[in-house]
Amino acid sequence: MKKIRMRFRAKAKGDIVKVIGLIKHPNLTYIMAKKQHKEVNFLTYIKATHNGEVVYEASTSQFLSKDPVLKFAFKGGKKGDVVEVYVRDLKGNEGTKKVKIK
Amino acid sequence: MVTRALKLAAISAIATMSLFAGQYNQQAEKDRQALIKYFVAKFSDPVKNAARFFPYTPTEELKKNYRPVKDWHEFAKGVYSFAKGPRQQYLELIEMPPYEDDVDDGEELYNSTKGLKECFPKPAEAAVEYPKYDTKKHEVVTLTMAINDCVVKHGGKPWNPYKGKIAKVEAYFAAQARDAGKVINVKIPNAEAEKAYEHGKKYYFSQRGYIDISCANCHVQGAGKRVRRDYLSPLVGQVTHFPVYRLSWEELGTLERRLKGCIKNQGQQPPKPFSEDMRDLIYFLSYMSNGMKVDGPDVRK
Repeated sequence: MKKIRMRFRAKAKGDIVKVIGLIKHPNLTYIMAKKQHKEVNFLTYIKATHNGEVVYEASTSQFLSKDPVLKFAFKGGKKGDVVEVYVRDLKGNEGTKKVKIK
Repeated sequence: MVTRALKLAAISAIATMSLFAGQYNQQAEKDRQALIKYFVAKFSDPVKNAARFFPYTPTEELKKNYRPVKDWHEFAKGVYSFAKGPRQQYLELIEMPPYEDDVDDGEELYNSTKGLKECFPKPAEAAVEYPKYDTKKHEVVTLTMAINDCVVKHGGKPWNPYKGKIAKVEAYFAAQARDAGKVINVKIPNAEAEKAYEHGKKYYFSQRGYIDISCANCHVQGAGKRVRRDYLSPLVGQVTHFPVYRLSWEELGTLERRLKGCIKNQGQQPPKPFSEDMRDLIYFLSYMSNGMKVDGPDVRK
């Protein structure tokens, strides 16, 4: 099992927290994998929590690009809080990242 | 009074310095100033100067897609300095740049590879130091060549000059130089160096290949025009952002790799990465970007 690498940044502006990040993943679709003689693998689940509350959740499939950039915003965050992002792909590889809100 | 005296002293100091140092780079400096003047005239008001610079572009397109550039330092961003649409895409892209991991990898490689620390004790300096004319070897030395020589000297196998490890190490150097606010400053120390410069310039301005065009046709006279949906970048500021993360490569690549691709598109056989043609060409290009801030690594289309 490999750990999925990623980078995230979170910024608070008034009441709203904006999160932006990049997930390192090849995201090979069925067609591309067949062409490149590799195994199919793409992100299937992304979740972000803030103080135990889910602020972003997505079940994804082949539509994602290579190394996708993710952007979302939520209300009710403060500076110094922690947003935790969790990612899983088709093969079961996982990755978590804790981001401090600036 | 004091400030005026200081200013006068500074101006006279600069004047004397340029008098003494400017023996061999007179022609080069003239070329650079002329190019800057030309590009500023071209892009400061594309609609007004359409008759001179963009005779075949419709005025609507000029109004809609072009952004006036007044300061020549902005050309460090290449196409994104004047083309509105691509600039917007670029600004969105660098919110979360895709090369940051490579810079970290480069730092690791710099610390772990034998000899790199001794050859390049100050990474921020290394990015600006090259390309330079080596007075002992009597040839131009580029950064890629210097790194490879260093690795081989300390008992390693030479790295691929186009991508991979070498690009990552260069990315680390460039990022350090950008953080320190370094400015590109290529020097022409003697008459032989001037010859190398002239050779590079000749390569840039001579017609070749089966389409029979020169580099200057696209990047001087043609700069700002479109090739299908892509805009052509101006010559000034073409080397500030290397190594570059190209979206079509999906990875980092060195200046040699970019030049190879560009020359191939032109319809000719690209020179080898460490050949005299390539090194002198890089020397010439770097001199034309003198006085601009290091901006690498960066993202390009």
